[in-house]
Amino acid sequence: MERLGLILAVAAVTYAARIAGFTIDQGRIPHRLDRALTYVPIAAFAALVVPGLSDDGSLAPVRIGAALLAAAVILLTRQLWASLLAGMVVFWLL
Amino acid sequence: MFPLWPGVPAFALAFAIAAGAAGFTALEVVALSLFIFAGSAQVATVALYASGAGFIPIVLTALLLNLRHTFYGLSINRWLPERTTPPKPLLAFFVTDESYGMTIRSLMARRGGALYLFGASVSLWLIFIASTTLGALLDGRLPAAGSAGLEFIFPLTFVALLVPLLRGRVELAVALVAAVLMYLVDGLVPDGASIVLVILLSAGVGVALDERAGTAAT
Repeated sequence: MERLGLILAVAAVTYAARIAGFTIDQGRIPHRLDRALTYVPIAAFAALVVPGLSDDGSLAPVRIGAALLAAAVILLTRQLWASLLAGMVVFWLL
Repeated sequence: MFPLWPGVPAFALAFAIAAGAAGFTALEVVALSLFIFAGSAQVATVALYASGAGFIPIVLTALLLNLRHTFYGLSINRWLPERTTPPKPLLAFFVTDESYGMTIRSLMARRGGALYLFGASVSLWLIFIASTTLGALLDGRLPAAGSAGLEFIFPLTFVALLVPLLRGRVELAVALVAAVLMYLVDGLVPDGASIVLVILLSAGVGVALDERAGTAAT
């Protein structure tokens, strides 16, 4: 129940962000905000990676190694599935 | 016609299996894709929930991640007439990174329009839902050894989403600042709200670096 509420709340803010683009006036967006928003996904993804790299509270070399491999694979192949697969295989084997 | 399709089922499958491993029921996993339909926000929501973050920080993080859709909408809307078929409130629900990329290319080439956006988006949505459902049904039927550590798909997903965005020095700096800040403050602010602070601070650093580069160049 709690999780369903969370899902609906996230869905609501997601839709709000989507419909806003079709309704607000283009000229009303300050340039700085526009710039800041291009950096939001970069900051968010980089920050979200970090907790997943530690195991029982300390940084785990295996996790970091697997993440670096996933980064290399996405750079080389541009295929998300290849990157996830490479990272998971290394993580499971080590 | 839509070259991005093959990546969608793989992402949805991985997401659904990992979300199941994180404790979400099959129905909840399908509901995430059905109602949110924004991959990175869904992964962030599930990963943050699994790490014990509170309601408000999770919703705020999803909102920040999805604000880029506002810009997609603004960009598309410039090319559309005031009234479209299907109507804009319906079109808006389906705007994604992928459908925006496809639509803006066709709009700029003076073909396509509201109907093209709708067709591209709905087909992506249907594939996304079908793959999520398949992944949700697979969860629990995988060998127990295989599902141990499945949550590690989440950090890997963020790595794979992040790396293609690192096109310049400022982007790289923003990512480094965010990662280091997160490492330092994680757990200091209750309720997992540190993620929201880190996103805002790091994006601010990006703008500051931009402006410094701008003044240095002139």
